[in-house]
Amino acid sequence: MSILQVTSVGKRFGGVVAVDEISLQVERGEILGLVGPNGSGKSTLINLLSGFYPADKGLVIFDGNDVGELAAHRIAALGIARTFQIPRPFHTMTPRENIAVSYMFGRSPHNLVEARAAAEEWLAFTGLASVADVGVDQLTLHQLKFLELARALATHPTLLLLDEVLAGLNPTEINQSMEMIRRINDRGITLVIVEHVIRAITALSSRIVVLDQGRVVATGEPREVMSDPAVVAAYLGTKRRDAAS
Amino acid sequence: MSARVRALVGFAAVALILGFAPNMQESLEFPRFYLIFLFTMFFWIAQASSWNILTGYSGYFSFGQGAFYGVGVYTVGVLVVKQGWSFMTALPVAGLLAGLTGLFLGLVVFRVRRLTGEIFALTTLAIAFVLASVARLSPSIDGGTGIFMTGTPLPGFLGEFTTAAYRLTLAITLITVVVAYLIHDSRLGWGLFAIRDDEPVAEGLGVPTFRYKMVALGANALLAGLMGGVWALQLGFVTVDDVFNIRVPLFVILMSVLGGMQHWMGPVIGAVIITTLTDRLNSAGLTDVNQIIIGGMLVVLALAVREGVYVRMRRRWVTTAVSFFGVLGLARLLDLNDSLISDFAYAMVATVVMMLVPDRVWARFGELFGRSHPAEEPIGAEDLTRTGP
Repeated sequence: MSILQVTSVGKRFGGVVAVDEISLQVERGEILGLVGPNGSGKSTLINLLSGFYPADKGLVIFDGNDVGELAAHRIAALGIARTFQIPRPFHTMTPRENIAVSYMFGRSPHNLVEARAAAEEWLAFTGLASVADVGVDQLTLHQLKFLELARALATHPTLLLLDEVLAGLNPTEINQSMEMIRRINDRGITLVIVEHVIRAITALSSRIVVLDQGRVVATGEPREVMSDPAVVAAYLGTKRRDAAS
Repeated sequence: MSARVRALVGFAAVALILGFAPNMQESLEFPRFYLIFLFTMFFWIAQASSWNILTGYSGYFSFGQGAFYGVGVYTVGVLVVKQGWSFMTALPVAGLLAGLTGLFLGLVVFRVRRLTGEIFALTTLAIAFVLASVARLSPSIDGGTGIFMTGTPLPGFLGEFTTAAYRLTLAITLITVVVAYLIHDSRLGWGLFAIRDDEPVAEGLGVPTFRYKMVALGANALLAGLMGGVWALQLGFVTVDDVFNIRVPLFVILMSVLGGMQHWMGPVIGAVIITTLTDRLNSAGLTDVNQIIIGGMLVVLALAVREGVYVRMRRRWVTTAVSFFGVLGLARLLDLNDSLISDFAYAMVATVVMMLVPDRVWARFGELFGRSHPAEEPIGAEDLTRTGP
């Protein structure tokens, strides 16, 4: 049974249709890549799935629960966590405290003492132990992105939505992050990753869903999807047809 | 013994010492106005601390303090004077009504996502104006004539009137500070800190933001109302203009900003400093320039010590202790003044001045004496948001 079943969801902001009509499903344990040109509705979809705003129409079933109308904190309690494209740490807290506060809420309630202990695990997992107690303003972009990951993981999600974790990183950092994403998946966490770095997403994903103008234009194995003429036209641009195949 | 148990024992000790201070008045031979002074100080500590539960912890800047305080004052005024209730039954009702006012306000403002920032602040300010008009127009509340609040009978076991009022104020203040302390280190507190830093992210990580904001606002309003109810005892004559004015919301903001809004001790320290200085300036006949001095001090402190005096005092605790007790001892020895309160005021001013030295200069100063002082630690969030392990 799939962990997430999205049926005909749509969202518009005033006259702008951000998500026209999207249906897709995410299988338990997989890494699903979500690609598409800017404005194709990827981030909006992530926001809808995590409850940042409600969908105008459609159905979202997560783990057998209808989460379409739920408040974001209830969705988090059911096991969906997300990261932000531009890191949004709690700026008056240290990285350790950022992770601890996330652990205190998330899927099950914990007190401050338990949370401080649990933060240790995720600091180690993401390699942030050396900067655990500095102000978050002293972290590099790479570290901030890993803090986003650590904070999302501390909620103990079963489904993790990653919104452009690799954007703005250099090749070495991208490789480290890809390794991290694999290790997260090895823990049995299902992932939906939104990404522009094609090399990374074809290497990581078990399946890819291509969006364009708020609709799904292709679904399937990374290689075959990326050579689909419709995808090439929509996403990579017609002029680069040769390069894509 | 855990930090929390130690702190609660500390609060209990403070309660006992201050609670029995009136009994020791004769044997220690301190003037009676010391009790009146403490009484005023407690009032402001409670008001500032309760305000800080909402605004300091969650970041929602509220001007509603005056409204909650006013509901407390008028509830006691109306129930005791006009309805003939006993004070001890009217007081809980005062807290309850103020709390409900807060929750009602919360239902309106927290349901509308756009009501944040300055709009939230203005909405809370408007509540006080609305309530003032209701009180003024309604003869069963005030009707524009005011309420005489003299000789309200208080339970005998608390002592004679002034002592009883003092003890009631102390009790409400301690409850308020303990509540602020307990919230600070709880899930509720950390949820509120997360809301203050980034509310949508907090919600996404599982913080029930609406419920937490309601609880914070409700607690703020209830505690402010209780304190207002007790304060009605010493007002003598309750009028709309005196109660629903900008003084209470303004002063709690001043005190909390001065002391530091991110820690439960900040408003306490701020209230102690401002009430002491105000009292001394007034008794020195400087009532007119009082607000200029306090206002000027706040501007300087807000610019130089943005994290609040308390956070710096903790980081420079050696300096704080030395300058405070040094100046206090010196003032006592030299017998500068026959009032202990004045000596405390000197010590406070000296300590605050020591906190004005910027961190960078401070670090240099430390090197000069070849020692590494805790003051040199960078301003981390650790200092700002937590106590204990």
